[in-house]
Amino acid sequence: MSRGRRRLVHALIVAVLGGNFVCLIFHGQVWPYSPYPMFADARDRHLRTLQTLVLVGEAIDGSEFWFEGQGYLSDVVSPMVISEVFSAARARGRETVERRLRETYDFYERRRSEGRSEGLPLRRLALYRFSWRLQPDLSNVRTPARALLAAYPTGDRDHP
Amino acid sequence: VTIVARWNRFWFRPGRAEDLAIGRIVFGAGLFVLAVQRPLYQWGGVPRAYRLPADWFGFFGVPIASEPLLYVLQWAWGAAILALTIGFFTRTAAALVCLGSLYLLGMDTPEFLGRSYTPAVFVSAILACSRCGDALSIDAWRRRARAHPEEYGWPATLICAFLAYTFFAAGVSKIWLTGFPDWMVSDMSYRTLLYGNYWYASRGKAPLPVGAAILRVNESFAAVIGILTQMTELLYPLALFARSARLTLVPLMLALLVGIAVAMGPFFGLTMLAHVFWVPWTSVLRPRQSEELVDRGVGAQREDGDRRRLPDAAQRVPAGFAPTTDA
Repeated sequence: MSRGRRRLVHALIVAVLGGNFVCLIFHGQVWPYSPYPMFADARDRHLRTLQTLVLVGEAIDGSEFWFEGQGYLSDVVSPMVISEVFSAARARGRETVERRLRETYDFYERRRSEGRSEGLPLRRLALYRFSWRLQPDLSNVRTPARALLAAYPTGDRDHP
Repeated sequence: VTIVARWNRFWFRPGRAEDLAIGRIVFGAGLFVLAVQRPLYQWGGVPRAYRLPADWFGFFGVPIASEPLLYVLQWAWGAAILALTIGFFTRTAAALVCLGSLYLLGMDTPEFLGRSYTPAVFVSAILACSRCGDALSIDAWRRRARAHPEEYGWPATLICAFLAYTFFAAGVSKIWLTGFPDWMVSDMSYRTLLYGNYWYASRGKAPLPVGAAILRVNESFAAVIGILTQMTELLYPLALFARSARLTLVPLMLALLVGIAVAMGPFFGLTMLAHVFWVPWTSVLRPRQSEELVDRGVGAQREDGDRRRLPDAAQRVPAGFAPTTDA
């Protein structure tokens, strides 16, 4: 192997492993480098509840559905992303939450009218906080405690 | 033996072109499935607030293209992955796969959800700098390139070192955030499974969301799983140096990843696929022929009369589960 090739390999070792170790030392993530902190934080060991923000569609026919993995907002937007986006919006204030809901409602209806999703026509799009008391048998998975945070277009809310 | 000699012997052990090629084919095929299944181009159409790309998109002003343009880019990325898999302009294809992965997967909430995609970038970058197209490829069929045994070992070694970092970092992060041995003796494994079941089972992602219930059968079982998980993560780098560690820790970690996917939902598919580079395929698939090749001092895969002898030091490692070569 030539000296130039060896230098290239060493540069690659530094780029792949060195960059990752820097992320580990400073405990930060810079895609594609990561300290891989999955499930690492166990400090809240006595926590027995799980909370998340969930979009709930209320259809014109009176039925209700949660935005899960059905692809109503595209196949790449996951429930975790929805929760993250609205958590950030709530930190910015009520107007931001309402603007996000309006954008989401319009986007949903546009995709539906274009035939890109099979969602039902919406009467209202609501943002709820779901809370589960964790049960090993998962018996309450579909029956969380719910608090309405905001809605569009009617604008009902319990906790702004 | 000097440190430099040890270093060179670790990284630049001779290998077999076929072992590297099989790794390329298997990893490329898996990545191609991801490229076909995940409609990343849809990020171009979602409201701006939902886009959570890598931080450097904003820092460097890298735009998220429109949906039609992303559609074309994703197809081009898929074509490059296919070219890498079949070995057609292999190194160029690998470089394009690396850049495509960096951009397209960089849009896909990587710092929030997408850590499992990092092998797409790093493995393709390593393959782009290697001679991974010297065997089992269209390039090898078109050109009669001579063999370079010293070029076929280091890519697999570096990929395995990257995997070792991945798990070691996960183990260290647990110490960093929770303390040692606090994480492993806490009931974190039980609660993590339970969280996963609530988060994913309600969305139908875990094929068999019974992990938490099984752990609850016996209180100490959850702690055993926690100890097993963190110890496997922390000790995984030993697999780079010891055959016994390779034979135990690597399959154990794969089993844990399968368990997480089945019982909880998150699927670390590319990380699991990258394990293909641990296996000396020529020894596993054709042990007798491999032994004969070593006996004859033949280091390469080509039948073109340009076979090269392996260095003496590399000749007599027993065939088995080695990261780079059986030679």
